Amino acid sequence: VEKARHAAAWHRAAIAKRTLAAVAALTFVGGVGLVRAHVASHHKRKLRPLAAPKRFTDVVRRDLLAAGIMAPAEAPADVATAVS
Amino acid sequence: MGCEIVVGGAGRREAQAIEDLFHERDRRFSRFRAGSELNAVNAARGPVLVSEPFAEAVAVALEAAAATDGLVDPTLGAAIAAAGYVTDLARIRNDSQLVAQSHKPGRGAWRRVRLTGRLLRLPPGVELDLNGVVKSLAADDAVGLLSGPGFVSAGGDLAANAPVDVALPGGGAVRVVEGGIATSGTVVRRWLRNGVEQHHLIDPRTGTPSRSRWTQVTVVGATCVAADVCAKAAFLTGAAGPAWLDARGLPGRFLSSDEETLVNRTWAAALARGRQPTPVHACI
Repeated sequence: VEKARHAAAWHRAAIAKRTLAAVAALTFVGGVGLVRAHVASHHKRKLRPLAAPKRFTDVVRRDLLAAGIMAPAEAPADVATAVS
Repeated sequence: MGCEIVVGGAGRREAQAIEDLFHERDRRFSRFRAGSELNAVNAARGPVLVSEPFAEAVAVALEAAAATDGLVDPTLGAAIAAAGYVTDLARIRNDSQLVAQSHKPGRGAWRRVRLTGRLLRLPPGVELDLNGVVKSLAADDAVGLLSGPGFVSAGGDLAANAPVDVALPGGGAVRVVEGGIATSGTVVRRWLRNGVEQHHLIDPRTGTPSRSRWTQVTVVGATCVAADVCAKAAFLTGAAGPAWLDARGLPGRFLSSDEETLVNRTWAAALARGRQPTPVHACI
């Protein structure tokens, strides 16, 4: 009888340990998830290397495709454009 | 740089500073000087720390490639050497025994060039040729050294900070009110290999000198480097060049091999606007 009571106690203790470990693991994972979602210093998405903002690069790109201002010549040319 | 520099509106000191600037750029970016930074970068294996002006030129060249969908490509150094442009133009022999090699670079190799600050990494087998932007960039920088109105022309790539009348290839002239003007073509820098004409404007799609229908393309841009990049892109685009410029609001003038001159709609409209009488506002 004593042995059977010991075995049952060991069994209950093992179940309690596993339950506690599972609850701790779930609490940890849930906590990390919540921290990532809500704490400002944690990144919220996959990290990317730093780069110039797209708007800025678009402006630079536009500059390379921007036209100058031209008009009919008004005097004999000072200089010539030639093949380079 | 193998070209004549013409400066207007510069004092003695400014003229000297501009001359020094072009000499410095030539020493740094020449493919034909053994000790140039460009050759050192091309010879390096792995990442290399480049100078500030070099990093700036690479950044502009990569932006030019992105803006033109890779038409003006800075990674064609090996292709232009394969075509025979391996020394100063004056020394290139028109040798019938020499055969131009074909070097087809990986399409879009410029996308794999990594520039982080001054740290530059080229993909394996890629050689830079920054001549697509260096001369016009130097003209833009040089005009910034002028204290008063004037212009700087580097082999016909012209940057101005005041209105200037500019003679055009094949006759005629135009006034550049603001910005720069540049002409790209195959009239000057060409040579023969195995009886076949070669030139320096490499088509990145084939890795060989472009067989464009144009001999010269002139563009007026917001800066000299913008004009130069767009003139090269329009040249390489071929028959669709005028429409390519029109779609981007850029004025362009094209000379074909049979001496025919064509201007795109934007060029014609800009000149037509300039001819209209200035409106008179009466104050009563």
